[in-house]
Amino acid sequence: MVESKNGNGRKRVDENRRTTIKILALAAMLSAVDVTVMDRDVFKSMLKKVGLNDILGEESKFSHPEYGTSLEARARRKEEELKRLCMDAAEIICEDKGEGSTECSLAREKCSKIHVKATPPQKGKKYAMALDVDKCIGCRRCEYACVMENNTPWNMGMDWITVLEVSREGVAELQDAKKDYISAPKPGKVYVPVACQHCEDPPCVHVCPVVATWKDEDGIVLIDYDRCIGCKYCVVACPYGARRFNLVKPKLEPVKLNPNMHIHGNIIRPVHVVEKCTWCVQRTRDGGVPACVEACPVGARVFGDLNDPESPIRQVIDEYGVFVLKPETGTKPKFFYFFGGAQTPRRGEEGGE
Amino acid sequence: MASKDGVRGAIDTLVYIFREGLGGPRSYKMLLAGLTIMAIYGIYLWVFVQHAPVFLGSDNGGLIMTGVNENVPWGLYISFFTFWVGIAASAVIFSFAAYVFGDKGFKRIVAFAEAQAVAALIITVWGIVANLGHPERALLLMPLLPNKRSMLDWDFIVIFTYMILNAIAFVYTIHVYRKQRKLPYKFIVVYMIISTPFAIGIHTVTAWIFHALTARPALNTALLAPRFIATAFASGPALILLILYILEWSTGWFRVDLAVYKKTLNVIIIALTTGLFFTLAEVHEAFWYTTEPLKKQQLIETFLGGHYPLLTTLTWLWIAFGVAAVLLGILPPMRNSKSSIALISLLTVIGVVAEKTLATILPGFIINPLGLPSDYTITPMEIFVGVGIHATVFLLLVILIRAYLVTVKRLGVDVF
Amino acid sequence: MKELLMLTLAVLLLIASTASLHIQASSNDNGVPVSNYVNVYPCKTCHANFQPSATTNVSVYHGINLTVGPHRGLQCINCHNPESGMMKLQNGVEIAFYGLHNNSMVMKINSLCGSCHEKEYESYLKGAHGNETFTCAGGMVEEVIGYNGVTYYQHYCPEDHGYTPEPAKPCIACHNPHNPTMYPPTTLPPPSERPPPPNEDYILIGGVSVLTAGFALIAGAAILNKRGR
Repeated sequence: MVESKNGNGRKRVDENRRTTIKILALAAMLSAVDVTVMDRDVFKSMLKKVGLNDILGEESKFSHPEYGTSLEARARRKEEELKRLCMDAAEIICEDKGEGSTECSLAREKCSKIHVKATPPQKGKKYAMALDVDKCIGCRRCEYACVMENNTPWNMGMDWITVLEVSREGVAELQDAKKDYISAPKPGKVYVPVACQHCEDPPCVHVCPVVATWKDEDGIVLIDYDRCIGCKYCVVACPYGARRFNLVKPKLEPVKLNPNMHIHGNIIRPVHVVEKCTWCVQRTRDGGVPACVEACPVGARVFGDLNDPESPIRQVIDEYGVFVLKPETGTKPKFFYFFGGAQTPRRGEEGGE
Repeated sequence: MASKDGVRGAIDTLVYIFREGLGGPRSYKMLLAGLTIMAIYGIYLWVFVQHAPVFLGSDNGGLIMTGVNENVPWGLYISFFTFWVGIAASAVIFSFAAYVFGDKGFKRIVAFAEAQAVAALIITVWGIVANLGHPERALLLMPLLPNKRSMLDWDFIVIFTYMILNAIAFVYTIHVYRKQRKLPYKFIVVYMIISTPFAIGIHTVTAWIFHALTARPALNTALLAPRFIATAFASGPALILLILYILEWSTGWFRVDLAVYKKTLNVIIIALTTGLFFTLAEVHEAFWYTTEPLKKQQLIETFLGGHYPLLTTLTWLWIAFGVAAVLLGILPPMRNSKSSIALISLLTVIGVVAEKTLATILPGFIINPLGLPSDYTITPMEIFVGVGIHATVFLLLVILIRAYLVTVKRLGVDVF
Repeated sequence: MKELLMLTLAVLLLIASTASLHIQASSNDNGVPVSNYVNVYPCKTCHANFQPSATTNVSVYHGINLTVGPHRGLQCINCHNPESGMMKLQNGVEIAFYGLHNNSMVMKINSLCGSCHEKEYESYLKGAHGNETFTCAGGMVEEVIGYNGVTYYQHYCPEDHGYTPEPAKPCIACHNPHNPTMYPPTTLPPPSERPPPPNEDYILIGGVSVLTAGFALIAGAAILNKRGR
């Protein structure tokens, strides 16, 4: 009984093994010849077209109850604490550079200006951002502006925006994207900046075990840095690689500080918490525009309120139609990409420099 | 009044376990000392270096000392978590054999499986905690379970419940055996009914933590939970067999029937074959026709190699050792001696360690969601904190096992 | 002489454009020009009686070449008003230079661009052409040497509430009216990656010695145990 079983089993395992080797050899052959030719339409197929009614019809399922006096009080406490820390850092600068130096006075001035806000979402607003892939030249000015605006820790080399160089011809899968290009824009390439997509159905919000991140009424996905336990589950869950983790204690640099802070936005983060793009909540909730929109030298970025028919984002959706990145993940992003048609000339191309 | 007696009895038994477990001959004390040294160093590194900014408020240190980064947020610590959850889940096999099928040989060793489950779950929880940025906040917030959608909360529930169930079962077993009595039938029925779903549950929920994420296509497969359970039911019994083999060698009096080894080996072989079959199924899905490009790229990295050779090495180590263990396990001469069965168990454990640790979680991370290759360098910090965690828990396991052995040795009557 | 004039103009423009954003915010629609090139340079001495006909062939004036670029084929008087000696534009606005003139003056030119580029102008007015910024009461823009030495213009508002969005730049800030193709500016270097872990040699050395000691004790226990039996 046992004997015969063994004989059969051995044969089966041998077969499995042979099949495995066969499959692997075939797969290697197939992957070697997966070069296809692709044009702009195929590139577009990478992105999914979104209709306006779909976007406006979606209702936010998530909200965070805590806005109001308790958060305001916490913001005041944070402000006191940051001012104290900042003054300590400023004193070190003053000792270093001398009492009368410009750095010293600048640092002290910055420290005194620190203001931590706890602005709640405005009623009836629903923000969205769109980016013209034709215009974008991959110059990374948005990345740099973002770092400065959001007090991103410099000692971590962290940036909330990743600009990908994607081929316009050939295989335009994200897998062939490059992040470390030196010169741009190259002919035959498009540039796709990716940051938090502020999804309607954000996986990062679903997975957070302690509700430290949530989607607000105005469509911005925010993080409560005082609640985050640093499990990084949201980093794992994000299909856009948008979330970052503070691996060290962020360094405070008073001279370069942005004193306009929001408690869920660009406030100096504690160590070991997750952070990401907040659409510059310290600016947008008070009527401003995000820093990347302002810094973009070619005007590729558009930001606005989806519920307002006069807003720039609505014009873009009506006029050009918009696409989203990685639609197969089912996250319904609120960060749209579109082809405006007017392409910024590429370097080395006819008509370019 | 009865409950007061029960509490006093439980405390009494706990004191007994640690008194018996800590005492022993000089060689045993040396073993404890060796484990303690490693444990202390690991805990020191964790508290005073890696988590110094959190625990001590210092400016240096932090998780930067580990290899995790924005693309590979979970590293070695979480890989321990996946492996040891499997080991813990497999305790149910022994409970079934002993309590449901009433096998006498298994009744003698079921307490080892319970102790191993408790120890394994401590490693899993500690693995998560070591990976956490703010463990102190987690201790406050996790018991409140604020987000029922998060699989991590469900994992918290099942792991802690299963840990407590096994701890109760172990302590109660010792409590009863001390009194030279049999385990009451009522207890066994209640324990089996409650603990079986949790045993399957801990591993299922752990797999579900990973698999329901569209961000990581290589892990986004419904086969992940079955695969986890298959390899868990191979590695857990194999580890128990190794422990039994070492115990038989070191105590000189403790003997386990060859039949127990053989029956366990059957479970190992079946589970291992299923695990290998699942790996084959994944290979087929990824490579036979076409699939999602990111998934394909991640699985090419896993099986065919790429910029991160460690992952491919571990994957093929699993396949090689798994196949070797199955082939050896079905050879009749290999089935008839304890040492050869122990060898097969060793092969199984090594193979499953290779598969269940980094080779399970890294495929999803090594190509990040945007398709960019990412790197993960294991740092000395992670290794020695890991060693410390394991040493601490092995210390506990050794103490529990010794307490059980001492109790069994003193038994005057047959209680099994 | 003409070359010298052009050179001076170029230098001035260069200086002005570096300070442009600063000026734009600090002058803030109070109507006072920061400087007035048209007054400083004697444009009007030539242009007072400059009356080109509609059929004047396009050729190079002031280094402007309308035979190339997207505006090739346009006549000067398509945009400039010859009756003002070319000093006014066809929408009745006086010529103004971005960076030299007050921002609100330069902004008036936009409607001229909009007369042909209707679609873009509409987008621009709505803020959908990309360039948007905000102003606030008593606010200013500060220049900060930022990340990797790249300049950043930081808004400072005394009350951090109630911002008003507005178009950030006039058309001619980005598009040279005589050759309006927007050329890409330089590419900034990729930001640095996650820094490597700090030196962990002491952890490694300590760990290896602890492991050695630990396993030596365990091995010793095994040997002792065997001998004991």
